[in-house]
Amino acid sequence: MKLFIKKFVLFILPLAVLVLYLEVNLAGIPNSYNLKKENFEKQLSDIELLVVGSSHAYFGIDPALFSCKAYNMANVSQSFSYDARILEKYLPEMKRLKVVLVIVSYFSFGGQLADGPEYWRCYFYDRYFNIPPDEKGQSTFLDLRKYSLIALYGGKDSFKYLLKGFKVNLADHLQPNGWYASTIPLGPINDEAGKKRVQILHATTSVDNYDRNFKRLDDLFSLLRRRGIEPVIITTPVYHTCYDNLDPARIRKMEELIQSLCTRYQVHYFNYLTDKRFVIEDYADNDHLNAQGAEKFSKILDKDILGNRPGRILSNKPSMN
Amino acid sequence: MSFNSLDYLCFLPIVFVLFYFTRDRWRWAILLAAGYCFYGALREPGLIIVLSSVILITYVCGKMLDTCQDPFRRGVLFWAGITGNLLILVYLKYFMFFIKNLNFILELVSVKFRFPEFAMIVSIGVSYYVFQAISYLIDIYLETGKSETHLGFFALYLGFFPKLLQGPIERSSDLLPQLRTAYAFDYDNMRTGLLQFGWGLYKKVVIADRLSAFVNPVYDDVHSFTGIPLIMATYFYAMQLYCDFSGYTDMALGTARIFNIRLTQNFNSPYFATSVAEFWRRWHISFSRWLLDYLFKPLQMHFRDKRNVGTALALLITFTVCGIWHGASWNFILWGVLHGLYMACSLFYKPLQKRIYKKIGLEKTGTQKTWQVLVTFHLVCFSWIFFRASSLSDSFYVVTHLFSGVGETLRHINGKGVFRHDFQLGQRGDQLAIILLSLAVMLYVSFLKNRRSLQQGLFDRPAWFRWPVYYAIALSVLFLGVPGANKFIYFQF
Repeated sequence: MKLFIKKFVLFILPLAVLVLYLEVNLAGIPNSYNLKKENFEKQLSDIELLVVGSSHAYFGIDPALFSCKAYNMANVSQSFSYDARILEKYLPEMKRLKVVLVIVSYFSFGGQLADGPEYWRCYFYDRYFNIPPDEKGQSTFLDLRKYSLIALYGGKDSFKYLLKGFKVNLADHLQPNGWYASTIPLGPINDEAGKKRVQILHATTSVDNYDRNFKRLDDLFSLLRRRGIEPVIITTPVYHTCYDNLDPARIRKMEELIQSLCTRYQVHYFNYLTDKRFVIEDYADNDHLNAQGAEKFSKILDKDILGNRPGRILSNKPSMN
Repeated sequence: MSFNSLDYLCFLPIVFVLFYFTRDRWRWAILLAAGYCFYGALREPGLIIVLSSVILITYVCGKMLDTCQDPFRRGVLFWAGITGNLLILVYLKYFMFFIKNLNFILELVSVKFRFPEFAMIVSIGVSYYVFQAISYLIDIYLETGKSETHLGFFALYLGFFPKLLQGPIERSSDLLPQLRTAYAFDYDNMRTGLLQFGWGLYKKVVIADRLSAFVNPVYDDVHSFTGIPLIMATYFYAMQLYCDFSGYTDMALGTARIFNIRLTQNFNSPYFATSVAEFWRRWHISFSRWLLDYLFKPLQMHFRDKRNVGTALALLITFTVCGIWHGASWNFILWGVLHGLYMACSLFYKPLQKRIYKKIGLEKTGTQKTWQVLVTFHLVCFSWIFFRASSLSDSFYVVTHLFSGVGETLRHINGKGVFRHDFQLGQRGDQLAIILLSLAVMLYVSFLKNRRSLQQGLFDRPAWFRWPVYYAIALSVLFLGVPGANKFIYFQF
């Protein structure tokens, strides 16, 4: 037994040193979660308008173009549950917050990050925001990814970063205001790709989640209203190759739920889903705006939402970003 | 609890330390408790009740059978035990399948009445320990085995955690004496066990889980593909399934070896088999042996007057049961029937085949063997289509579109994106390179016959050779493994 223990320790020791070295260095790699958190917490007390939502908002809304101090807290595949819990966590410190733009996409009511194929993202929220996967999420207590960045990034990518001396930035186009400027195409834009994208959206979301997500938004809007903050619902534009393939029944259901929230909390809903002002050059793929499209969309939002506001409840100072 | 999870990496050392520091008299209790914890970690309380029921039914029937002398009473006890076990298995695995098909027939004949359909508990591991329980009862009934008098050891025989979820299906005469043997730490067993566990983990997380990224997009949406992608996905699936299942078995055998217990080897380079019959002697060996001893041989005896036709009939029935055992789906049944047909046909074709080989001068040559390995591999791959496809219609689609547009693809192989779409199944080139390299390593190791001598061969080498091999396995798992505790394919059976 002693011989075994001696040899086992001798074998494990170099591996343990390597793992430790990797973990420490991987922790220093900037990604959209740690960068967003850092920038967000720096600006927390000044933010007047906050954007929450999924990649449609993350790529598509540039807060620098709003006529108030704004921050984009959206992220890829971020579900209502995370929108709500981020807000619940930081609201007490956001003294100047007046408006929250809640981005509701075609798939939002059906999506749930914690039981979808991208649930690994939950571990980033857990690690950086201290927000654990919600009640219906998968068991995480003994998932290696909760504790190890090697497991979270994957061994192959960790090794790649090691070879690059950890000089990598996983969110190189992320702006200090939380917007990700997508300057390169994210994928082909055509009917086939649009159809495939919608198929993936249908496969990774479920109508069973609609009630739960509605309840989440309902609770969030109730909280915001209690604090005198105005929620505004936005649906971002998608290219016709995508919306031509959307299920009309799901769209109707989404609009019904939104209508119900609008009535209950006197919320404005701005639906740009099929907006013809956006042309193919504005898109990074079938349903995400690129940097040019984001600029156009953010200006429209500023005009539609902030420009027409009776009495302009927000201060008129330009964004600091 | 899955072998490739952090849960298990914490669980195993704890169990071993408790086992090591417990007196021999109570070590069975540690392993049994570990089995229940391991099974309970699946968070299906119903499964604990099922396992306990199978243990109790089989233990009581086995003990009474062993002491009973009256043939009629023995028959009643035997059939009571078999029926009790089978009822549990049939209810959990096949009841809903039966109801669904019944409702389908009612719909066809325009009857409005429908039987209610409801969700059953997931019957992970049940098929394995129920078959083990049945073999135990048959052995006692035929007086080829003795009953276990100690309920704890008997429960451990069915609930020993390394083999609980996916086998091997152990005979009582092989496992029970080992469970009763006093434990003494054995350095060789420990390092052999850990090496085998590491090798199994490599097969699972480096090869099988990586291959699933190639296979799933195609087989989950077969109607979007024709020709080469379907062929490639089928080849990849053959490798994925082998690495997944044999990887699990290696981890099970490795874990058991740590406790000085040798479980049955379940695989012996099956894709190097020269006939389908030989394939079944190399694939899922403990299950094949079970089918051979408890189903095929009695059936063959029953039909012995019909000579080859009788044997063919016995093969067809045996492999239909083999298909049904794998799951309540027409796909599995068809897969089993197909294997039965392969072997039944070979009975009649073999003499002709021999004459052909003799005539063209290939008899007993390397070329003949290579040809037979290739043919067998492709026959098995063809059957995997039914095994993997989500439905019968998907399987028939794959079968009828396997070669559609192949010529066209090959003509445009240099075209933009053709190779990546059709051969790499849309995955990146580096992913394919990792797969091919890992498969080459795995096949080379499979090619070096006889695992035991392979391990011994490694241990006989000097440290400067052995340690880099250990580190290569560990670093491959660390850097090339797919993160996340992905489920094993055979869990569902």
